[in-house]
Amino acid sequence: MREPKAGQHACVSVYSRVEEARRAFDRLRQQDFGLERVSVLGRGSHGVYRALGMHHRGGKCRFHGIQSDLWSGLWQHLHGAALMWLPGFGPLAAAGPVTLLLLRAPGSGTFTTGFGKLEQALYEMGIPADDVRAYVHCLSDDTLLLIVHDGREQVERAYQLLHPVSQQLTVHHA
Amino acid sequence: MNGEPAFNRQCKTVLQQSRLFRRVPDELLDEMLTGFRRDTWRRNAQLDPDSFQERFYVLITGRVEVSRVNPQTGRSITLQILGPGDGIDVITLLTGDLHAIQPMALEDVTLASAPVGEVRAWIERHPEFNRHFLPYLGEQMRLMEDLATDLALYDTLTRLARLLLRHVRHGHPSSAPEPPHGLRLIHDMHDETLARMVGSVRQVVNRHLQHWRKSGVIHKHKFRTEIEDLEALRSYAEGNAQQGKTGHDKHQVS
Repeated sequence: MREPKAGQHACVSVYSRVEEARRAFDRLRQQDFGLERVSVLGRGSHGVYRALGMHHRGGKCRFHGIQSDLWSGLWQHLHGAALMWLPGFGPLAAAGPVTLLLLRAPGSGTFTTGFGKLEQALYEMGIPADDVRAYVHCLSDDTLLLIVHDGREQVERAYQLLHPVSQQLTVHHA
Repeated sequence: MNGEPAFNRQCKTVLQQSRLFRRVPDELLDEMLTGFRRDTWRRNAQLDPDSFQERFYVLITGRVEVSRVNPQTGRSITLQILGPGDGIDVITLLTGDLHAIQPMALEDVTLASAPVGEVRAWIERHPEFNRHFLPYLGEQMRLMEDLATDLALYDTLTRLARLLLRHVRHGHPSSAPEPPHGLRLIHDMHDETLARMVGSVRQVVNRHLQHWRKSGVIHKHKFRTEIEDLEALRSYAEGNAQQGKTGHDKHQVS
Protein backbone atom coordinates (compact mmCIF):
# COMPACT_ATOMS: atom_id res chain seq x y z
CA MET A 1 0.00 0.00 0.00
CA ARG A 2 1.33 3.42 -0.95
CA GLU A 3 2.36 5.46 2.10
CA PRO A 4 1.78 9.23 2.11
CA LYS A 5 4.78 11.51 1.80
CA ALA A 6 5.90 13.02 5.11
CA GLY A 7 4.52 16.43 5.96
CA GLN A 8 1.15 15.93 4.30
CA HIS A 9 -1.95 17.43 5.82
CA ALA A 10 -5.61 17.03 5.01
CA CYS A 11 -8.69 18.77 6.31
CA VAL A 12 -11.74 16.54 5.90
CA SER A 13 -15.29 17.73 6.47
CA VAL A 14 -18.36 15.50 6.30
CA TYR A 15 -21.76 16.70 5.07
CA SER A 16 -24.98 14.75 5.25
CA ARG A 17 -26.78 17.13 2.88
CA VAL A 18 -25.90 18.38 -0.57
CA GLU A 19 -26.79 21.99 0.35
CA GLU A 20 -24.32 21.98 3.23
CA ALA A 21 -21.54 20.68 1.00
CA ARG A 22 -22.34 23.27 -1.64
CA ARG A 23 -22.36 26.04 0.95
CA ALA A 24 -18.93 24.94 2.24
CA PHE A 25 -17.49 24.77 -1.25
CA ASP A 26 -18.90 28.19 -2.15
CA ARG A 27 -17.38 29.62 0.99
CA LEU A 28 -13.92 28.43 -0.09
CA ARG A 29 -14.45 29.85 -3.58
CA GLN A 30 -15.71 33.22 -2.32
CA GLN A 31 -12.71 33.59 -0.01
CA ASP A 32 -10.35 33.04 -2.97
CA PHE A 33 -9.06 29.81 -1.53
CA GLY A 34 -6.90 27.97 -4.09
CA LEU A 35 -9.08 25.14 -5.37
CA GLU A 36 -6.25 23.09 -6.90
CA ARG A 37 -6.02 20.96 -3.76
CA VAL A 38 -9.72 20.70 -2.99
CA SER A 39 -11.53 17.40 -3.62
CA VAL A 40 -15.08 16.20 -3.10
CA LEU A 41 -16.28 12.60 -2.85
CA GLY A 42 -19.79 11.23 -2.81
CA ARG A 43 -21.99 8.50 -4.16
CA GLY A 44 -23.68 10.85 -6.58
CA SER A 45 -27.11 9.51 -5.77
CA HIS A 46 -29.61 8.69 -3.06
CA GLY A 47 -31.02 5.24 -3.51
CA VAL A 48 -30.11 2.60 -6.02
CA TYR A 49 -32.93 2.99 -8.57
CA ARG A 50 -31.84 6.28 -10.15
CA ALA A 51 -29.75 6.23 -13.29
CA LEU A 52 -26.53 8.13 -13.15
CA GLY A 53 -23.69 8.76 -15.51
CA MET A 54 -21.45 11.37 -17.01
CA HIS A 55 -20.81 12.72 -20.45
CA HIS A 56 -18.36 15.10 -21.98
CA ARG A 57 -19.57 17.78 -24.36
CA GLY A 58 -18.27 21.15 -25.46
CA GLY A 59 -15.16 20.73 -23.34
CA LYS A 60 -17.17 20.19 -20.13
CA CYS A 61 -17.95 17.14 -18.06
CA ARG A 62 -21.58 16.85 -17.08
CA PHE A 63 -23.18 14.64 -14.48
CA HIS A 64 -26.45 12.77 -15.03
CA GLY A 65 -28.43 12.05 -11.94
CA ILE A 66 -30.17 13.49 -8.95
CA GLN A 67 -27.09 15.50 -7.92
CA SER A 68 -26.31 16.81 -11.39
CA ASP A 69 -26.16 20.47 -10.33
CA LEU A 70 -23.65 19.78 -7.59
CA TRP A 71 -21.29 17.54 -9.53
CA SER A 72 -21.44 19.39 -12.83
CA GLY A 73 -20.57 22.55 -10.90
CA LEU A 74 -17.74 20.89 -9.00
CA TRP A 75 -16.29 19.41 -12.18
CA GLN A 76 -16.23 22.89 -13.68
CA HIS A 77 -14.21 24.36 -10.85
CA LEU A 78 -12.02 21.51 -9.63
CA HIS A 79 -9.12 19.78 -11.36
CA GLY A 80 -10.30 16.26 -12.06
CA ALA A 81 -13.60 14.51 -12.60
CA ALA A 82 -14.52 10.86 -12.20
CA LEU A 83 -17.55 8.66 -11.88
CA MET A 84 -16.73 5.03 -11.18
CA TRP A 85 -18.26 1.83 -9.92
CA LEU A 86 -16.31 0.16 -7.10
CA PRO A 87 -16.86 -3.48 -6.16
CA GLY A 88 -18.47 -3.77 -2.76
CA PHE A 89 -19.21 -0.05 -2.68
CA GLY A 90 -21.16 0.95 -5.75
CA PRO A 91 -21.09 4.30 -7.56
CA LEU A 92 -18.52 6.89 -6.52
CA ALA A 93 -18.36 10.43 -7.85
CA ALA A 94 -15.15 12.35 -7.36
CA ALA A 95 -13.96 15.85 -8.17
CA GLY A 96 -10.52 17.32 -7.67
CA PRO A 97 -7.02 15.80 -7.30
CA VAL A 98 -8.41 12.76 -5.46
CA THR A 99 -9.42 11.45 -8.88
CA LEU A 100 -5.77 10.90 -9.77
CA LEU A 101 -5.20 8.99 -6.53
CA LEU A 102 -8.26 6.86 -7.26
CA LEU A 103 -7.16 6.09 -10.78
CA ARG A 104 -3.64 5.05 -9.85
CA ALA A 105 -4.57 3.05 -6.72
CA PRO A 106 -4.36 -0.71 -7.34
CA GLY A 107 -7.70 -2.22 -8.19
CA SER A 108 -7.91 -5.05 -5.68
CA GLY A 109 -7.77 -4.84 -1.90
CA THR A 110 -4.66 -6.08 -0.09
CA PHE A 111 -4.86 -9.25 1.93
CA THR A 112 -3.91 -7.59 5.19
CA THR A 113 -5.91 -4.38 5.03
CA GLY A 114 -8.83 -5.19 2.76
CA PHE A 115 -8.30 -1.73 1.31
CA GLY A 116 -9.75 -1.09 -2.14
CA LYS A 117 -9.15 1.84 -4.47
CA LEU A 118 -11.13 4.34 -2.42
CA GLU A 119 -9.52 3.38 0.88
CA GLN A 120 -6.05 3.48 -0.63
CA ALA A 121 -6.64 6.92 -2.11
CA LEU A 122 -7.72 8.28 1.28
CA TYR A 123 -4.85 6.52 3.05
CA GLU A 124 -2.36 8.06 0.64
CA MET A 125 -3.60 11.51 1.70
CA GLY A 126 -2.36 10.86 5.23
CA ILE A 127 -5.64 9.74 6.78
CA PRO A 128 -5.16 6.95 9.37
CA ALA A 129 -6.61 3.53 8.60
CA ASP A 130 -9.40 3.71 11.20
CA ASP A 131 -10.55 7.09 9.89
CA VAL A 132 -10.38 5.81 6.32
CA ARG A 133 -12.83 3.04 7.21
CA ALA A 134 -15.06 5.55 9.02
CA TYR A 135 -15.11 7.90 6.02
CA VAL A 136 -15.89 5.09 3.59
CA HIS A 137 -18.74 4.06 5.87
CA CYS A 138 -19.97 7.69 5.82
CA LEU A 139 -19.78 7.76 2.03
CA SER A 140 -21.80 4.57 1.77
CA ASP A 141 -24.46 6.33 3.87
CA ASP A 142 -24.76 8.97 1.13
CA THR A 143 -22.76 11.67 2.89
CA LEU A 144 -20.28 13.88 1.06
CA LEU A 145 -16.65 14.48 1.94
CA LEU A 146 -14.89 17.74 1.19
CA ILE A 147 -11.13 17.30 1.44
CA VAL A 148 -8.41 19.92 1.33
CA HIS A 149 -5.11 18.13 0.86
CA ASP A 150 -2.15 20.52 0.98
CA GLY A 151 0.64 21.93 3.17
CA ARG A 152 0.00 22.84 6.78
CA GLU A 153 -0.71 26.55 6.26
CA GLN A 154 -3.25 26.00 3.51
CA VAL A 155 -4.97 23.25 5.46
CA GLU A 156 -5.15 25.46 8.55
CA ARG A 157 -6.62 28.25 6.43
CA ALA A 158 -9.18 25.85 5.00
CA TYR A 159 -10.08 24.80 8.53
CA GLN A 160 -10.65 28.43 9.56
CA LEU A 161 -12.94 28.95 6.56
CA LEU A 162 -14.89 25.70 6.89
CA HIS A 163 -15.17 25.58 10.64
CA PRO A 164 -18.24 27.92 10.87
CA VAL A 165 -20.16 25.91 8.26
CA SER A 166 -19.18 22.34 9.17
CA GLN A 167 -20.50 20.03 11.88
CA GLN A 168 -17.83 17.40 11.52
CA LEU A 169 -14.32 18.42 10.63
CA THR A 170 -10.96 16.75 11.27
CA VAL A 171 -7.41 17.75 10.39
CA HIS A 172 -5.08 14.86 9.58
CA HIS A 173 -1.28 15.09 9.67
CA ALA A 174 1.07 12.51 8.18
CA MET B 1 -16.22 20.76 18.94
CA ASN B 2 -16.24 19.79 15.28
CA GLY B 3 -16.43 16.06 15.56
CA GLU B 4 -18.69 13.06 15.75
CA PRO B 5 -20.73 12.78 18.95
CA ALA B 6 -18.91 9.52 19.75
CA PHE B 7 -15.53 11.26 19.55
CA ASN B 8 -16.79 14.19 21.63
CA ARG B 9 -17.87 11.77 24.35
CA GLN B 10 -14.55 9.94 24.19
CA CYS B 11 -12.70 13.25 24.35
CA LYS B 12 -14.66 14.33 27.41
CA THR B 13 -14.01 11.02 29.17
CA VAL B 14 -10.26 11.21 28.51
CA LEU B 15 -10.08 14.84 29.63
CA GLN B 16 -12.05 14.11 32.81
CA GLN B 17 -9.49 11.42 33.70
CA SER B 18 -6.46 13.57 32.79
CA ARG B 19 -4.37 15.47 35.31
CA LEU B 20 -4.92 18.71 33.36
CA PHE B 21 -8.70 18.70 33.24
CA ARG B 22 -9.62 16.44 36.14
CA ARG B 23 -12.17 18.11 38.43
CA VAL B 24 -12.87 20.94 36.00
CA PRO B 25 -16.65 21.41 36.41
CA ASP B 26 -18.76 19.73 33.78
CA GLU B 27 -20.24 22.95 32.38
CA LEU B 28 -16.81 24.54 32.04
CA LEU B 29 -15.42 21.42 30.38
CA ASP B 30 -18.33 21.40 27.89
CA GLU B 31 -17.59 25.05 27.14
CA MET B 32 -13.90 24.27 26.61
CA LEU B 33 -14.73 21.34 24.34
CA THR B 34 -16.50 23.68 21.92
CA GLY B 35 -13.11 25.29 21.32
CA PHE B 36 -11.35 22.00 20.50
CA ARG B 37 -11.06 20.37 17.12
CA ARG B 38 -10.17 16.80 16.23
CA ASP B 39 -6.71 16.13 14.82
CA THR B 40 -4.92 12.91 13.91
CA TRP B 41 -1.23 12.18 13.47
CA ARG B 42 -0.15 9.16 11.50
CA ARG B 43 2.41 6.82 13.00
CA ASN B 44 5.93 8.36 12.81
CA ALA B 45 4.47 11.77 11.90
CA GLN B 46 6.57 14.66 13.19
CA LEU B 47 4.92 18.02 13.33
CA ASP B 48 6.66 21.32 12.69
CA PRO B 49 7.58 23.03 15.96
CA ASP B 50 5.77 26.09 14.48
CA SER B 51 2.45 24.24 14.90
CA PHE B 52 2.78 24.45 18.66
CA GLN B 53 2.94 28.25 18.58
CA GLU B 54 -0.54 28.20 17.02
CA ARG B 55 -2.33 25.30 18.68
CA PHE B 56 -2.16 23.39 21.95
CA TYR B 57 -2.68 19.66 21.49
CA VAL B 58 -4.08 17.20 24.02
CA LEU B 59 -3.64 13.49 23.34
CA ILE B 60 -6.84 11.50 23.26
CA THR B 61 -5.60 8.11 22.02
CA GLY B 62 -2.12 6.80 21.30
CA ARG B 63 1.36 7.81 22.44
CA VAL B 64 3.77 10.53 21.41
CA GLU B 65 7.52 10.55 22.01
CA VAL B 66 8.97 13.99 22.69
CA SER B 67 12.71 14.20 22.10
CA ARG B 68 15.54 16.58 21.36
CA VAL B 69 18.25 15.96 18.81
CA ASN B 70 21.84 17.05 18.41
CA PRO B 71 21.78 18.15 14.74
CA GLN B 72 25.54 17.63 14.38
CA THR B 73 25.74 14.07 15.64
CA GLY B 74 22.15 12.94 15.13
CA ARG B 75 22.00 11.64 18.71
CA SER B 76 18.72 12.13 20.44
CA ILE B 77 17.30 11.95 23.91
CA THR B 78 13.69 11.27 24.73
CA LEU B 79 12.32 13.79 27.19
CA GLN B 80 8.90 12.22 27.66
CA ILE B 81 6.49 9.62 26.43
CA LEU B 82 3.06 11.23 26.46
CA GLY B 83 -0.18 9.32 26.70
CA PRO B 84 -3.92 10.08 26.69
CA GLY B 85 -4.72 13.25 28.62
CA ASP B 86 -1.25 14.78 28.27
CA GLY B 87 -0.68 18.16 26.63
CA ILE B 88 1.82 19.02 23.87
CA ASP B 89 3.69 21.48 24.23
CA VAL B 90 3.24 23.22 27.58
CA ILE B 91 6.41 25.30 27.34
CA THR B 92 5.38 26.95 24.06
CA LEU B 93 1.91 27.50 25.51
CA LEU B 94 3.43 29.49 28.36
CA THR B 95 6.26 31.34 26.62
CA GLY B 96 5.08 31.60 23.02
CA ASP B 97 8.65 31.00 21.86
CA LEU B 98 9.67 28.30 19.42
CA HIS B 99 10.64 25.16 21.30
CA ALA B 100 13.17 22.86 19.63
CA ILE B 101 11.47 19.58 20.50
CA GLN B 102 10.58 16.79 18.11
CA PRO B 103 7.30 15.15 19.01
CA MET B 104 6.73 11.94 17.07
CA ALA B 105 3.65 9.75 17.03
CA LEU B 106 4.53 6.20 18.11
CA GLU B 107 1.32 4.93 16.54
CA ASP B 108 -1.68 6.55 14.85
CA VAL B 109 -2.84 9.09 17.43
CA THR B 110 -5.96 11.17 17.89
CA LEU B 111 -5.72 14.58 19.52
CA ALA B 112 -7.93 17.47 20.48
CA SER B 113 -6.39 20.85 19.73
CA ALA B 114 -7.35 24.42 20.53
CA PRO B 115 -5.79 27.75 19.58
CA VAL B 116 -3.01 28.75 21.97
CA GLY B 117 -4.69 32.10 22.63
CA GLU B 118 -7.86 30.39 23.74
CA VAL B 119 -6.06 28.05 26.13
CA ARG B 120 -4.20 31.01 27.64
CA ALA B 121 -7.55 32.72 28.12
CA TRP B 122 -8.83 29.64 30.00
CA ILE B 123 -5.81 29.88 32.30
CA GLU B 124 -6.51 33.56 32.97
CA ARG B 125 -10.27 33.40 33.27
CA HIS B 126 -10.92 30.12 35.02
CA PRO B 127 -9.30 29.50 38.42
CA GLU B 128 -10.84 25.98 38.41
CA PHE B 129 -8.69 25.11 35.41
CA ASN B 130 -5.66 26.93 36.80
CA ARG B 131 -5.93 24.97 40.02
CA HIS B 132 -4.93 21.80 38.13
CA PHE B 133 -2.79 23.41 35.48
CA LEU B 134 -0.15 24.61 37.96
CA PRO B 135 0.31 21.22 39.68
CA TYR B 136 0.50 19.63 36.20
CA LEU B 137 3.27 22.07 35.32
CA GLY B 138 5.01 21.28 38.59
CA GLU B 139 4.87 17.60 37.79
CA GLN B 140 6.35 18.20 34.34
CA MET B 141 9.19 20.18 35.91
CA ARG B 142 9.82 17.42 38.43
CA LEU B 143 10.03 14.86 35.62
CA MET B 144 12.62 16.99 33.82
CA GLU B 145 14.54 17.37 37.07
CA ASP B 146 14.46 13.59 37.57
CA LEU B 147 15.76 13.08 34.03
CA ALA B 148 18.60 15.57 34.49
CA THR B 149 19.54 14.03 37.86
CA ASP B 150 19.50 10.51 36.47
CA LEU B 151 21.68 11.45 33.51
CA ALA B 152 24.19 13.32 35.63
CA LEU B 153 24.45 11.13 38.70
CA TYR B 154 23.58 7.52 37.92
CA ASP B 155 24.86 4.72 35.73
CA THR B 156 22.80 3.17 32.95
CA LEU B 157 21.58 0.24 34.99
CA THR B 158 20.23 2.52 37.72
CA ARG B 159 18.73 4.92 35.19
CA LEU B 160 16.94 2.06 33.47
CA ALA B 161 15.59 0.74 36.76
CA ARG B 162 14.35 4.20 37.73
CA LEU B 163 12.71 4.59 34.33
CA LEU B 164 10.79 1.33 34.71
CA LEU B 165 9.79 2.18 38.27
CA ARG B 166 8.40 5.57 37.19
CA HIS B 167 6.15 3.78 34.73
CA VAL B 168 4.91 0.92 36.92
CA ARG B 169 1.17 0.72 36.62
CA HIS B 170 -0.45 1.23 40.02
CA GLY B 171 -3.59 -0.76 40.63
CA HIS B 172 -6.56 0.17 42.78
CA PRO B 173 -5.38 0.72 46.37
CA SER B 174 -7.72 -1.96 47.63
CA SER B 175 -6.36 -4.67 45.30
CA ALA B 176 -3.48 -6.85 46.41
CA PRO B 177 -0.19 -5.67 44.86
CA GLU B 178 0.53 -9.05 43.29
CA PRO B 179 3.16 -9.44 40.57
CA PRO B 180 3.47 -9.20 37.66
CA HIS B 181 3.18 -5.42 37.60
CA GLY B 182 2.36 -3.84 34.27
CA LEU B 183 4.05 -0.77 32.83
CA ARG B 184 2.33 2.39 31.63
CA LEU B 185 3.21 3.81 28.21
CA ILE B 186 6.52 1.94 27.78
CA HIS B 187 5.32 -1.66 28.11
CA ASP B 188 6.04 -2.56 24.46
CA MET B 189 8.96 -0.25 23.66
CA HIS B 190 11.93 -1.46 21.65
CA ASP B 191 15.30 -1.44 23.36
CA GLU B 192 16.29 1.40 21.01
CA THR B 193 13.50 3.62 22.36
CA LEU B 194 14.28 2.76 25.98
CA ALA B 195 17.93 3.59 25.27
CA ARG B 196 16.91 7.05 24.04
CA MET B 197 14.95 7.54 27.26
CA VAL B 198 17.95 6.82 29.50
CA GLY B 199 20.63 8.44 27.35
CA SER B 200 22.32 5.19 26.42
CA VAL B 201 22.58 2.87 23.43
CA ARG B 202 20.52 -0.14 22.42
CA GLN B 203 23.23 -2.74 23.07
CA VAL B 204 23.77 -1.65 26.67
CA VAL B 205 20.06 -1.48 27.46
CA ASN B 206 19.52 -4.86 25.82
CA ARG B 207 22.23 -6.39 27.99
CA HIS B 208 20.67 -5.04 31.18
CA LEU B 209 17.19 -6.20 30.21
CA GLN B 210 18.46 -9.69 29.32
CA HIS B 211 20.14 -9.88 32.72
CA TRP B 212 16.92 -8.86 34.46
CA ARG B 213 14.92 -11.38 32.48
CA LYS B 214 17.28 -14.20 33.46
CA SER B 215 17.20 -13.04 37.09
CA GLY B 216 13.40 -12.97 37.13
CA VAL B 217 13.16 -9.22 37.76
CA ILE B 218 11.15 -8.68 34.58
CA HIS B 219 9.54 -10.87 32.01
CA LYS B 220 8.02 -10.40 28.59
CA HIS B 221 4.56 -11.74 27.93
CA LYS B 222 2.94 -11.28 24.50
CA PHE B 223 5.39 -8.48 23.62
CA ARG B 224 4.63 -6.63 26.88
CA THR B 225 7.29 -6.14 29.54
CA GLU B 226 6.08 -6.73 33.09
CA ILE B 227 7.81 -6.43 36.46
CA GLU B 228 8.04 -9.70 38.39
CA ASP B 229 10.22 -8.57 41.30
CA LEU B 230 9.43 -4.99 42.25
CA GLU B 231 11.70 -5.03 45.30
CA ALA B 232 14.70 -6.11 43.24
CA LEU B 233 13.98 -3.35 40.74
CA ARG B 234 13.74 -0.80 43.56
CA SER B 235 17.08 -2.01 44.80
CA TYR B 236 18.62 -1.43 41.37
CA ALA B 237 16.98 1.99 41.23
CA GLU B 238 18.70 2.96 44.48
CA GLY B 239 22.00 2.17 42.82
CA ASN B 240 22.50 -0.93 44.92
CA ALA B 241 25.64 -2.43 43.40
CA GLN B 242 25.09 -5.74 45.28
CA GLN B 243 22.42 -6.65 42.78
CA GLY B 244 24.47 -5.76 39.75
CA LYS B 245 27.82 -7.33 40.48
CA THR B 246 28.25 -8.75 36.95
CA GLY B 247 29.68 -5.46 35.73
CA HIS B 248 26.51 -3.95 34.33
CA ASP B 249 26.86 -1.04 36.70
CA LYS B 250 30.11 0.04 35.03
CA HIS B 251 28.39 1.18 31.85
CA GLN B 252 28.02 4.91 31.62
CA VAL B 253 27.33 7.16 28.69
CA SER B 254 30.20 9.59 28.08
